[in-house]
Amino acid sequence: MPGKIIAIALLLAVILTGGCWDRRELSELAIVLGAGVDRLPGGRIQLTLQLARPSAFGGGEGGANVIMNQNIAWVVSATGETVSDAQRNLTLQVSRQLIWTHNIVLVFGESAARRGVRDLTNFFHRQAGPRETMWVMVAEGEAKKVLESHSELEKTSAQSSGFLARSRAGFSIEFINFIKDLASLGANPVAARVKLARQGEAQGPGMEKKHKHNEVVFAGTAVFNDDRLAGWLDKSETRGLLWLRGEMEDGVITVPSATAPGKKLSFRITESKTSVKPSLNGENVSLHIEISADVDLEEQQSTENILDPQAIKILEERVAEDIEKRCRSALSKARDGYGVDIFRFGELFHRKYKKEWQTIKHRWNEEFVNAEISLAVKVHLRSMGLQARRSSLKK
Amino acid sequence: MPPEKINGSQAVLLLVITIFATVILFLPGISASYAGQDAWISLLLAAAAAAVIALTAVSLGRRFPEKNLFEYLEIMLGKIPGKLVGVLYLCWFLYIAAALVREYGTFMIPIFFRQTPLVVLAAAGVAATAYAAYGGLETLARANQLFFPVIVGASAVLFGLALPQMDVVNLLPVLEAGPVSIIKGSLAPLSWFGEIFLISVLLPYLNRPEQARRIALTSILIATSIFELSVIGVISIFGPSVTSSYLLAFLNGVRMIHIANFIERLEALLMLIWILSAGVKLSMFYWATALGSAQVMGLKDYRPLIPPVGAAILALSIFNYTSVMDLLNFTATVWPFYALTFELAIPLFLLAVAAIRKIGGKPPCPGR
Repeated sequence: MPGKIIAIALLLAVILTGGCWDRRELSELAIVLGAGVDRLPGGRIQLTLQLARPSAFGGGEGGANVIMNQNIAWVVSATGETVSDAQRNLTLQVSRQLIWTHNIVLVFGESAARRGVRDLTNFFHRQAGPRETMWVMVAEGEAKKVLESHSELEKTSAQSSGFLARSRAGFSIEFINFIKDLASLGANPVAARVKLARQGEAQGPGMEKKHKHNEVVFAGTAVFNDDRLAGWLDKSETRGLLWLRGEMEDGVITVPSATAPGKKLSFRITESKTSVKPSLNGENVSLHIEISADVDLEEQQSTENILDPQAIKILEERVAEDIEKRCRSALSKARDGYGVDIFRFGELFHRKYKKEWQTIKHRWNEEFVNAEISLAVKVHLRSMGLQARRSSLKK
Repeated sequence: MPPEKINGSQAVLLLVITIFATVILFLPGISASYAGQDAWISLLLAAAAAAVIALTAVSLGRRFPEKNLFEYLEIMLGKIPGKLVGVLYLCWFLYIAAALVREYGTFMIPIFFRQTPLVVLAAAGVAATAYAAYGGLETLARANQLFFPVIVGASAVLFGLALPQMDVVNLLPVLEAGPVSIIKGSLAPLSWFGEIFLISVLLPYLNRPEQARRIALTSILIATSIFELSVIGVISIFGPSVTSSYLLAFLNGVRMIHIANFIERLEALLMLIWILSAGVKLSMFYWATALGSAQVMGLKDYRPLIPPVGAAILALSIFNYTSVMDLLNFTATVWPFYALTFELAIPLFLLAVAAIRKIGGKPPCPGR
């Protein structure tokens, strides 16, 4: 009998005291949603955090009006010699323990990126809190400004930029892939370029203030030379980058009609495949790139018969030309503009020519700039939406 | 002498988990830092060499049926020298147990228990395994039959969920690392695989000792398949340079799992795997140390020795290392040679002694 009592007491102790030592109550935490890193003119690091305010997150159905009037997130920043130092200085302002595990975005300020991001990434890689899967972005201007913005559709701007990144409409990259590019001699990192733009239309009188405000928008790609920001790719070049890295998941291609001048057709990309074959002729590196894409007709301004195999062939060629044009513009910007391989072609070369790679790995960017590149694009029109032909054709 | 008996499959499961517990912590990091993406080849080499260790231990033990390591050491080398070598082996067992406690203690803290002191986690682990060691080998074997499917099942689930993150081209080019680097990368895994030498303590407890050789080889085969999958998985997620930068690459691999913004943050599953396998391994070495001590000291029962052995494991686990860096340095550089002395050098020497002095029964015929 006493044995049973002791056993029950021990079991109760296990149940009741379990996890007390390291307990972390929600009311004691400051959850980091977004982090921004800037370099101040003196070289000090400025860390800006967007913190969730759990009380404002609640609300539920009836609370919508209340939520509109208060800030959902709290943005704080502090400076330091390192990111960790800056974070430590933040604890003088934030009354709660910082929790990094739910961080969605890491934004580098433009000047920080130009000075080099290698030193700035270590904190986020070494600590157990920040996830490998957070999104990396480079702000046009200060990262702090991006984090200070708020979102009309989502609860916070960090969430809205996270969703934008996840939709893969523009170029977006997760922290771990950014780190892999940074660690590789056969690649240079690229990250999403974000900026603030005035968004939203006033709906009725007195609403201007509320609806015209700065939102985070994706505006192309930030190109790094090793760990330093070299420049940007615009939206069209970014499409080329996505094709060439084999990361094209979604998008619309608009091409002029062959029969009716001034009329356009839009195609939606449903499948894409990119294969790059590096080869070596003597000393010269050459790269053969093959892209194949499946598209659906999404909109047709012109009136050609879309069931006619001849018309299909012409349209497919036009779409292929458009893809090729974008790829070439991304390639020429990377080669002639910045002189860096941002497509991971070096990695592919390394995998195929492990011996030769040893001699050229430290000057791969030059090899890439001088490489002979051939590009072949194949497009298949697979479907045409719900219409077989235009309905408004007057016979 | 032993009243307890375990059957062949129980022995295999015990040995697999014994190897699994340490390897699952360190493996891809240390091997990839030498061999890069060829770490999986290092692992194959290690497994092949481990088979030699296992066969040495088995043919040694089969010369002395019903006797374990500590008993036949005395028969072979004479009473006093036999006891001395036995004590050396006990120190080595103690070291393995203490290192395991420390590894799990230090790695749990920064990840899961940020404020809990090391000694609390270590003491909890030692106390729980003391109970298991008190229960004896048969109890342990049966408990492990319950744990094994959980450990392997959870590992399989994690592997399956991480598949979308993997890209096997990260394993190319094959054989980029030179043979020297690949061999260097295989040393640490070999020393962990070599802990299969524990079979020399298990042998007299097998209900069919003639299966010993098959048991040892099957254990190595199963363990190798699990590790190959894990290593290939982790390297295909991160590529060699990032993998080698990680202290606990499996943990980072599990952190990468995110499916549809919904299935993510599965580290708890990894913790389950770690704790269960470390518990089994620690119990095994705890039990072997207590048993060996009793036999060296000539005691009839090992159970009274459980508290002092536990105290020794706990103390050593705290005092052996000054930091995680110290632990990692030791494990990567000193430990392989330390371990291989006990796993391969001494057993080979003993086998030679036995063959020359013609002691012990006939070695098992190769067919069995």
